[in-house]
Amino acid sequence: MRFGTASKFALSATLALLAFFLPWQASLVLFLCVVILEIFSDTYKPISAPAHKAFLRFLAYLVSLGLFMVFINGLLIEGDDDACIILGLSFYPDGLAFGLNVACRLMLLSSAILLFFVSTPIKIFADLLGYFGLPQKIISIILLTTFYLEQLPARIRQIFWSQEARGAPIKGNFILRIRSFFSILSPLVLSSLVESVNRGMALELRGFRGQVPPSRPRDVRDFRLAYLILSTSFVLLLWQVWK
Amino acid sequence: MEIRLDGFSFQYVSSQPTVVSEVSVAVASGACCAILGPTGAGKTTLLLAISGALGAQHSSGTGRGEISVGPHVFRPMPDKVLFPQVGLCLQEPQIMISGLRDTVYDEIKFSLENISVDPELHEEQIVSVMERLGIQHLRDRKPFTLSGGELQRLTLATLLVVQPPVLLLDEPGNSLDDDALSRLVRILRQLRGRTTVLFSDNQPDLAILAADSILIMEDGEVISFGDKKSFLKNLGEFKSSLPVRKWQDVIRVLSRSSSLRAKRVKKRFGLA
Amino acid sequence: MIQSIKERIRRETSGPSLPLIGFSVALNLTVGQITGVLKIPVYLDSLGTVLTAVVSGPWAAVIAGCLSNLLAAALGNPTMMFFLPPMIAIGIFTGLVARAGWFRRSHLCVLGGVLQGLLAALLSAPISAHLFAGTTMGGADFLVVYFRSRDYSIFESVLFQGLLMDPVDKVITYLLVFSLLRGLPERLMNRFPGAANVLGGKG
Repeated sequence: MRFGTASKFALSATLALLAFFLPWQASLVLFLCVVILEIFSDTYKPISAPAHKAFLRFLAYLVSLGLFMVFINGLLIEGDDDACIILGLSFYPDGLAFGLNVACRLMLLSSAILLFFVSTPIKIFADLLGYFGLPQKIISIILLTTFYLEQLPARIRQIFWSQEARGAPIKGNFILRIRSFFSILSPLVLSSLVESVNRGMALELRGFRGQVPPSRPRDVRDFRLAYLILSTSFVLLLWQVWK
Repeated sequence: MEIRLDGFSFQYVSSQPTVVSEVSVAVASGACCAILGPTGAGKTTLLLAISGALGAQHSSGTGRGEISVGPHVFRPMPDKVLFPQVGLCLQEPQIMISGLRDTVYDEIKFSLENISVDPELHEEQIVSVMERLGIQHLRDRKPFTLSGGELQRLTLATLLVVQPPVLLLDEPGNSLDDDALSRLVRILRQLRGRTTVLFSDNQPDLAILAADSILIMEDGEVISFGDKKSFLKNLGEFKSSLPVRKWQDVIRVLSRSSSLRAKRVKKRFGLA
Repeated sequence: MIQSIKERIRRETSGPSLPLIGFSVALNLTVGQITGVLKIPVYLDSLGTVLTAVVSGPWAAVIAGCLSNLLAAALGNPTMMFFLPPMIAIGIFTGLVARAGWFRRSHLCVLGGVLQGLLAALLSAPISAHLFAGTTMGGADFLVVYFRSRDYSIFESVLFQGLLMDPVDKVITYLLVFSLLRGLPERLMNRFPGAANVLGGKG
């Protein structure tokens, strides 16, 4: 079975929310589930091979960050219980437990959110936000942002090269580097302001009033499932809080 | 739809000189008029004023006179964009691409969506305009991967798909190779009789090949306005009497170039 | 009141401001690439937001700030999603001080940057401390660890780190925007709703 974008979003949001309420053991299990979903499920299939690689790199980073958090909190937070000595360092059980809690929460939360985005192009996400009622103007800004995100690195590279060719220093002391940064930023911002004026006019000349119809029609079944998942998790969370 | 300007003048900032002054011209419905002149002559401002973009975006500017688009009279100019009655293509075609759509097909569809055309009619209208402009093979390409000529035809398609009675083109001949230019001439000829076209240019070849009437401007003022025949007849006179150094520079540069476009200009101006 | 806010939002997100917000969000997300290559040890990740606040206005900046965090989450830093309040504050505060003319004088920009930094630190600290125990996956986490090793609580450590770093970051951001906008042609600036913020009476 393959979930639609809305139910996929609901599932990821639920997992991210659960991270704040579950004990670390459960969070860790769910974190592993996220990894399995990313690798094996059709629903969360990454949009591209680089996206998949980036996700795996991020997981490795998350795990090392998690271990670091356990280590630091184990060292720094003293509790009532006696410390255990490992490799000559004193680790406190309360600190370790706190570190594990925070680390597993962060790991589940981050991986669940990224699980959605690694398998959903931003344009489809923009469609989804539109279905959920976000104003059309905001959707069009998201789409324009993705457009600029595609264009900016090349523009920055171009300015960077021309500044380098003119001898602008990219090494040297802080002030020199800030100056160099300014010499890259200045043409970038100026050209973008000019372009904003022209693009704003061009959009108006094409009758654009801020409305962006979604690129595909809304899948009613997918939305029913999404609302079901979201309302179930909401009820479960309320119950957990009340308990 | 007829376009008429009556004593139209405009200045962006009151402390600066008038960009367009006392322009009075009339272009008959379905005719094609070229506005020629060097950079800074006021050509773009004139097109922006007719499209409504000038009134909509430069509320701090000052205008005088009046502009009529078909039966509608605006004093001094329309204060909102007149799309889809009037379609204006800005000088750089890439700026006309919305950045909101991923394929050539969807980019053309975007214009129809903006004016709420029945979605059932989209496919037919888009395919028809793509065929007319010879871009059906680009249907699924990303707009920003197109060449200059392809991009210009896409831009034209995004405007022509809504079938505007008036089409304005700002320097459409710029940076086009000879093939693309010939194709543009064919497109402009196809539109004759159906769509009123006004285009600006700083070189006369496209005007000679595609326009019915020619308006020559300098420093915001009309130097001459008349049909193409009288322009061609008086070409020698224009060549010597045009008080535009930049204009002559363009010809001089062209006279050293070997492109088809340059050859055409040289031939017309007796420089070959 | 609501009608006037609605009208202001409409004005700040129309015409050239709409693409400018998109550019600013992209700038917020990519400026790290430039600072990384040049080894400049500050984030400047609200540069686009501050630019929008001055050029277009506070509401446009709030939208730019919120979308920056949302898309930063989508592009690999999910914790950013929870830091919307400081971004909203940056947008509103900068928009207001720009309207008061602070972006026409460099010394007022420094003052604005310091105040903005303090405000951002105060608003980020509780989120960072309570949700992530001071870890935000940023380069400044080592400072938090340092304060904690000196027996400060997580909240205090995060707050001190913010109070030390954020004003520096925001002063540089403010001064950069001030310098970038100072030399722009009047005719270009006049096309944006915030022209008077930079040009004063001339706009």
